Amino acid sequence: MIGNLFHYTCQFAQEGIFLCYSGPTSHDVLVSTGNSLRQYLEENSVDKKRYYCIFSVYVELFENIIRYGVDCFGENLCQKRCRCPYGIITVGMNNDHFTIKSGNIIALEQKDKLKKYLNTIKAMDPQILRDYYRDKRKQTTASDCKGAGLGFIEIIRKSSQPITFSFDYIDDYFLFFSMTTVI
Amino acid sequence: MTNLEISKTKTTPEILFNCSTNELSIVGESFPENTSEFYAPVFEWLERYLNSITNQVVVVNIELVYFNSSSSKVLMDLFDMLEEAVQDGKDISVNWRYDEENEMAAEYGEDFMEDLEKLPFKLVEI
Repeated sequence: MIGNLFHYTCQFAQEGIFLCYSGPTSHDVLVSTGNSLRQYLEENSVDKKRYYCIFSVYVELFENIIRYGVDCFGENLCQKRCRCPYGIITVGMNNDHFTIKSGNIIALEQKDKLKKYLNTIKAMDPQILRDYYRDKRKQTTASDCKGAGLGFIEIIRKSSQPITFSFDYIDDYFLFFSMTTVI
Repeated sequence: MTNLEISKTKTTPEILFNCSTNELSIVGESFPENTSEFYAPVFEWLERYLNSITNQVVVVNIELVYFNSSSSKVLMDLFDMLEEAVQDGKDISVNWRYDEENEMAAEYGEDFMEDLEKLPFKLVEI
Protein backbone atom coordinates (compact mmCIF):
# COMPACT_ATOMS: atom_id res chain seq x y z
CA MET A 1 0.00 0.00 0.00
CA ILE A 2 2.76 2.45 0.94
CA GLY A 3 4.38 1.64 -2.37
CA ASN A 4 1.14 2.42 -4.16
CA LEU A 5 0.75 5.75 -2.45
CA PHE A 6 4.27 6.69 -3.42
CA HIS A 7 3.47 5.68 -6.97
CA TYR A 8 0.32 7.86 -6.99
CA THR A 9 2.20 10.78 -5.50
CA CYS A 10 4.91 10.55 -8.17
CA GLN A 11 2.31 10.37 -10.88
CA PHE A 12 0.52 13.42 -9.47
CA ALA A 13 3.79 15.32 -9.29
CA GLN A 14 4.56 14.48 -12.92
CA GLU A 15 1.17 15.78 -13.98
CA GLY A 16 1.53 18.93 -11.86
CA ILE A 17 -1.36 17.95 -9.61
CA PHE A 18 -1.14 19.92 -6.38
CA LEU A 19 -4.49 18.99 -4.90
CA CYS A 20 -6.33 15.70 -4.79
CA TYR A 21 -9.28 14.59 -2.75
CA SER A 22 -10.73 11.13 -2.94
CA GLY A 23 -13.41 9.88 -0.60
CA PRO A 24 -16.87 10.66 0.72
CA THR A 25 -17.93 14.12 -0.38
CA SER A 26 -19.87 16.72 1.59
CA HIS A 27 -20.22 20.47 1.71
CA ASP A 28 -17.71 20.58 4.59
CA VAL A 29 -15.11 18.80 2.47
CA LEU A 30 -15.83 21.18 -0.40
CA VAL A 31 -15.23 24.17 1.86
CA SER A 32 -12.01 22.89 3.41
CA THR A 33 -10.41 21.60 0.21
CA GLY A 34 -11.68 24.73 -1.56
CA ASN A 35 -9.79 26.80 1.01
CA SER A 36 -6.59 24.88 0.31
CA LEU A 37 -7.08 25.53 -3.37
CA ARG A 38 -7.59 29.25 -2.79
CA GLN A 39 -4.52 29.43 -0.60
CA TYR A 40 -2.44 27.78 -3.32
CA LEU A 41 -3.77 30.16 -5.97
CA GLU A 42 -3.07 33.17 -3.74
CA GLU A 43 0.45 32.03 -2.98
CA ASN A 44 1.08 31.64 -6.69
CA SER A 45 -0.33 35.10 -7.42
CA VAL A 46 -2.92 33.88 -9.89
CA ASP A 47 -4.81 36.90 -11.22
CA LYS A 48 -8.30 37.59 -9.85
CA LYS A 49 -10.26 36.63 -12.92
CA ARG A 50 -8.54 33.28 -13.28
CA TYR A 51 -8.65 32.71 -9.54
CA TYR A 52 -12.44 32.97 -9.52
CA CYS A 53 -12.79 30.91 -12.71
CA ILE A 54 -10.80 28.08 -11.15
CA PHE A 55 -12.56 28.29 -7.82
CA SER A 56 -15.95 28.48 -9.49
CA VAL A 57 -15.35 25.37 -11.62
CA TYR A 58 -14.07 23.56 -8.53
CA VAL A 59 -17.21 24.40 -6.56
CA GLU A 60 -19.60 23.46 -9.38
CA LEU A 61 -17.86 20.13 -10.03
CA PHE A 62 -17.78 19.31 -6.33
CA GLU A 63 -21.43 20.24 -5.87
CA ASN A 64 -22.38 18.02 -8.81
CA ILE A 65 -20.73 15.08 -7.07
CA ILE A 66 -22.51 15.83 -3.79
CA ARG A 67 -25.87 16.20 -5.52
CA TYR A 68 -25.82 13.54 -8.19
CA GLY A 69 -23.14 11.02 -7.23
CA VAL A 70 -23.89 7.70 -5.63
CA ASP A 71 -21.79 5.58 -3.34
CA CYS A 72 -21.32 2.02 -4.43
CA PHE A 73 -18.12 1.07 -2.67
CA GLY A 74 -18.99 -2.08 -0.86
CA GLU A 75 -22.10 -4.10 -1.46
CA ASN A 76 -24.02 -2.75 1.52
CA LEU A 77 -23.83 0.75 0.16
CA CYS A 78 -25.09 -0.35 -3.25
CA GLN A 79 -28.56 -0.79 -1.85
CA LYS A 80 -29.30 2.83 -1.20
CA ARG A 81 -28.14 6.29 -2.13
CA CYS A 82 -25.59 7.49 0.35
CA ARG A 83 -25.54 10.96 1.82
CA CYS A 84 -21.83 11.29 1.17
CA PRO A 85 -21.33 10.12 -2.39
CA TYR A 86 -17.88 8.99 -3.36
CA GLY A 87 -15.92 11.43 -5.48
CA ILE A 88 -12.42 12.20 -6.61
CA ILE A 89 -11.23 15.62 -7.70
CA THR A 90 -7.79 16.83 -8.72
CA VAL A 91 -6.37 20.23 -9.60
CA GLY A 92 -3.10 20.55 -11.46
CA MET A 93 -1.04 23.25 -13.07
CA ASN A 94 0.95 22.63 -16.21
CA ASN A 95 2.33 25.05 -18.79
CA ASP A 96 0.29 27.88 -17.30
CA HIS A 97 -2.95 25.90 -17.59
CA PHE A 98 -5.00 24.73 -14.67
CA THR A 99 -6.68 21.38 -15.12
CA ILE A 100 -9.50 20.26 -12.88
CA LYS A 101 -10.61 16.66 -13.12
CA SER A 102 -13.51 15.17 -11.28
CA GLY A 103 -14.81 11.65 -11.10
CA ASN A 104 -17.79 10.08 -9.41
CA ILE A 105 -20.07 7.11 -9.54
CA ILE A 106 -23.45 7.44 -11.18
CA ALA A 107 -26.30 5.04 -11.72
CA LEU A 108 -26.41 3.51 -15.18
CA GLU A 109 -29.74 5.15 -16.03
CA GLN A 110 -28.30 8.63 -15.50
CA LYS A 111 -25.89 8.23 -18.41
CA ASP A 112 -27.95 8.88 -21.55
CA LYS A 113 -29.55 12.07 -20.33
CA LEU A 114 -26.29 13.43 -18.96
CA LYS A 115 -24.33 12.57 -22.11
CA LYS A 116 -26.91 14.17 -24.39
CA TYR A 117 -27.08 17.30 -22.25
CA LEU A 118 -23.31 17.73 -22.05
CA ASN A 119 -22.88 17.25 -25.79
CA THR A 120 -25.61 19.80 -26.47
CA ILE A 121 -24.17 22.56 -24.30
CA LYS A 122 -20.61 21.71 -25.33
CA ALA A 123 -21.52 22.37 -28.97
CA MET A 124 -22.95 25.84 -28.27
CA ASP A 125 -20.85 28.88 -29.12
CA PRO A 126 -20.18 31.27 -26.22
CA GLN A 127 -22.90 33.79 -27.08
CA ILE A 128 -25.57 31.13 -27.49
CA LEU A 129 -24.43 29.47 -24.27
CA ARG A 130 -24.68 32.79 -22.46
CA ASP A 131 -28.25 33.30 -23.70
CA TYR A 132 -29.12 29.71 -22.81
CA TYR A 133 -27.76 30.25 -19.30
CA ARG A 134 -29.84 33.39 -18.89
CA ASP A 135 -32.98 31.69 -20.25
CA LYS A 136 -32.51 28.77 -17.91
CA ARG A 137 -31.93 31.05 -14.96
CA LYS A 138 -35.28 32.73 -15.62
CA GLN A 139 -37.14 29.42 -15.66
CA THR A 140 -38.40 27.42 -12.72
CA THR A 141 -36.05 24.58 -11.92
CA ALA A 142 -36.80 21.07 -13.23
CA SER A 143 -37.97 18.66 -10.56
CA ASP A 144 -35.08 16.20 -11.00
CA CYS A 145 -32.60 19.03 -10.51
CA LYS A 146 -31.28 19.48 -7.01
CA GLY A 147 -29.54 22.74 -7.84
CA ALA A 148 -30.41 25.45 -10.33
CA GLY A 149 -29.37 23.21 -13.24
CA LEU A 150 -26.79 25.78 -14.28
CA GLY A 151 -23.62 24.10 -13.00
CA PHE A 152 -22.39 22.49 -16.22
CA ILE A 153 -23.11 25.63 -18.23
CA GLU A 154 -21.14 27.63 -15.69
CA ILE A 155 -18.24 25.16 -15.98
CA ILE A 156 -18.19 25.34 -19.78
CA ARG A 157 -18.38 29.14 -19.74
CA LYS A 158 -15.36 29.28 -17.44
CA SER A 159 -13.17 26.77 -19.26
CA SER A 160 -10.66 27.85 -21.86
CA GLN A 161 -10.74 24.56 -23.78
CA PRO A 162 -13.66 22.27 -24.61
CA ILE A 163 -14.53 20.03 -21.69
CA THR A 164 -13.99 16.29 -22.07
CA PHE A 165 -15.88 13.57 -20.28
CA SER A 166 -16.20 9.81 -20.22
CA PHE A 167 -18.19 7.00 -18.68
CA ASP A 168 -16.37 3.90 -17.48
CA TYR A 169 -18.14 0.64 -16.84
CA ILE A 170 -18.20 -0.54 -13.22
CA ASP A 171 -20.93 -3.18 -13.29
CA ASP A 172 -24.50 -3.62 -14.50
CA TYR A 173 -25.76 -0.84 -12.23
CA PHE A 174 -23.04 1.76 -11.95
CA LEU A 175 -20.72 3.83 -14.11
CA PHE A 176 -17.75 6.00 -13.32
CA PHE A 177 -18.31 9.46 -14.77
CA SER A 178 -15.27 11.68 -15.21
CA MET A 179 -14.84 15.14 -16.55
CA THR A 180 -11.83 17.31 -17.37
CA THR A 181 -11.88 21.09 -17.49
CA VAL A 182 -8.97 23.29 -18.48
CA ILE A 183 -8.73 26.94 -17.42
CA MET B 1 -41.35 45.08 11.26
CA THR B 2 -37.83 44.30 12.41
CA ASN B 3 -34.64 44.48 10.39
CA LEU B 4 -33.20 41.35 8.83
CA GLU B 5 -29.66 40.69 9.95
CA ILE B 6 -27.76 37.57 8.94
CA SER B 7 -24.04 37.38 9.75
CA LYS B 8 -21.62 36.19 7.15
CA THR B 9 -20.13 32.70 7.25
CA LYS B 10 -17.47 31.00 5.12
CA THR B 11 -20.04 30.19 2.47
CA THR B 12 -22.83 32.70 2.96
CA PRO B 13 -22.90 36.50 2.68
CA GLU B 14 -23.78 39.09 5.28
CA ILE B 15 -27.34 40.20 4.77
CA LEU B 16 -28.55 43.46 6.28
CA PHE B 17 -32.03 44.59 5.32
CA ASN B 18 -32.90 47.74 7.19
CA CYS B 19 -36.54 48.75 7.06
CA SER B 20 -36.01 52.15 8.68
CA THR B 21 -33.24 53.38 6.35
CA ASN B 22 -34.65 51.33 3.42
CA GLU B 23 -31.20 50.09 2.61
CA LEU B 24 -30.80 46.44 1.80
CA SER B 25 -27.37 44.91 1.40
CA ILE B 26 -25.89 41.53 0.55
CA VAL B 27 -22.11 41.41 0.91
CA GLY B 28 -19.61 38.56 0.70
CA GLU B 29 -19.61 35.17 -0.96
CA SER B 30 -22.46 32.80 -1.59
CA PHE B 31 -22.22 29.05 -1.98
CA PRO B 32 -24.42 27.69 0.81
CA GLU B 33 -24.88 24.01 1.44
CA ASN B 34 -28.57 24.39 0.76
CA THR B 35 -29.23 27.53 -1.23
CA SER B 36 -33.02 27.61 -1.10
CA GLU B 37 -33.03 26.91 2.61
CA PHE B 38 -30.55 29.69 3.29
CA TYR B 39 -32.40 32.30 1.23
CA ALA B 40 -35.94 31.33 2.28
CA PRO B 41 -36.08 33.78 5.23
CA VAL B 42 -34.63 36.50 2.99
CA PHE B 43 -37.49 36.10 0.51
CA GLU B 44 -40.06 35.94 3.31
CA TRP B 45 -38.76 39.15 4.83
CA LEU B 46 -38.60 40.87 1.46
CA GLU B 47 -42.14 39.96 0.56
CA ARG B 48 -43.48 41.43 3.79
CA TYR B 49 -41.30 44.49 3.38
CA LEU B 50 -42.35 45.17 -0.22
CA ASN B 51 -45.99 44.94 0.81
CA SER B 52 -45.43 47.39 3.64
CA ILE B 53 -43.69 50.20 1.74
CA THR B 54 -45.36 52.96 -0.21
CA ASN B 55 -43.23 55.79 -1.58
CA GLN B 56 -39.97 55.14 0.25
CA VAL B 57 -36.75 55.26 -1.74
CA VAL B 58 -35.21 51.79 -1.47
CA VAL B 59 -31.58 51.13 -2.31
CA VAL B 60 -30.32 47.57 -2.70
CA ASN B 61 -26.55 47.12 -2.60
CA ILE B 62 -25.18 43.83 -3.80
CA GLU B 63 -21.48 43.20 -3.37
CA LEU B 64 -20.74 39.56 -4.02
CA VAL B 65 -17.17 38.65 -4.88
CA TYR B 66 -18.13 35.06 -5.58
CA PHE B 67 -21.39 33.15 -5.87
CA ASN B 68 -22.18 29.71 -7.25
CA SER B 69 -24.70 28.90 -9.95
CA SER B 70 -27.56 28.10 -7.59
CA SER B 71 -27.04 31.46 -5.86
CA SER B 72 -27.12 33.08 -9.29
CA LYS B 73 -30.58 31.61 -9.80
CA VAL B 74 -31.66 32.93 -6.40
CA LEU B 75 -30.38 36.41 -7.24
CA MET B 76 -32.38 36.35 -10.46
CA ASP B 77 -35.50 35.44 -8.49
CA LEU B 78 -34.73 38.26 -6.07
CA PHE B 79 -34.34 40.80 -8.88
CA ASP B 80 -37.55 39.55 -10.51
CA MET B 81 -39.35 40.16 -7.25
CA LEU B 82 -37.93 43.69 -7.02
CA GLU B 83 -38.81 44.34 -10.64
CA GLU B 84 -42.39 43.36 -10.00
CA ALA B 85 -42.50 45.80 -7.10
CA VAL B 86 -41.13 48.54 -9.38
CA GLN B 87 -43.89 47.78 -11.86
CA ASP B 88 -46.33 48.27 -8.99
CA GLY B 89 -44.94 51.76 -8.56
CA LYS B 90 -42.33 51.21 -5.83
CA ASP B 91 -39.11 53.22 -5.91
CA ILE B 92 -36.32 50.61 -5.83
CA SER B 93 -32.88 50.62 -7.38
CA VAL B 94 -30.01 48.13 -7.30
CA ASN B 95 -26.31 48.91 -7.11
CA TRP B 96 -24.23 45.98 -8.29
CA ARG B 97 -20.94 46.73 -6.59
CA TYR B 98 -17.75 45.06 -7.80
CA ASP B 99 -14.03 45.35 -7.44
CA GLU B 100 -12.34 46.59 -10.62
CA GLU B 101 -9.97 43.58 -10.55
CA ASN B 102 -12.86 41.16 -10.37
CA GLU B 103 -13.88 41.05 -14.03
CA MET B 104 -16.15 38.10 -13.42
CA ALA B 105 -18.33 39.98 -10.96
CA ALA B 106 -18.66 42.80 -13.50
CA GLU B 107 -19.69 40.36 -16.24
CA TYR B 108 -22.30 38.79 -13.99
CA GLY B 109 -23.67 42.24 -13.26
CA GLU B 110 -24.00 42.93 -16.99
CA ASP B 111 -25.83 39.62 -17.46
CA PHE B 112 -28.34 40.52 -14.77
CA MET B 113 -28.75 44.04 -16.08
CA GLU B 114 -29.69 42.77 -19.52
CA ASP B 115 -32.35 40.53 -18.04
CA LEU B 116 -34.10 43.34 -16.22
CA GLU B 117 -36.33 45.85 -17.92
CA LYS B 118 -37.96 48.02 -15.30
CA LEU B 119 -35.69 47.65 -12.28
CA PRO B 120 -33.00 50.37 -12.21
CA PHE B 121 -29.75 48.40 -12.04
CA LYS B 122 -26.43 50.17 -11.84
CA LEU B 123 -22.92 48.70 -12.09
CA VAL B 124 -20.72 50.40 -9.54
CA GLU B 125 -16.97 49.91 -9.52
CA ILE B 126 -15.52 50.10 -6.02
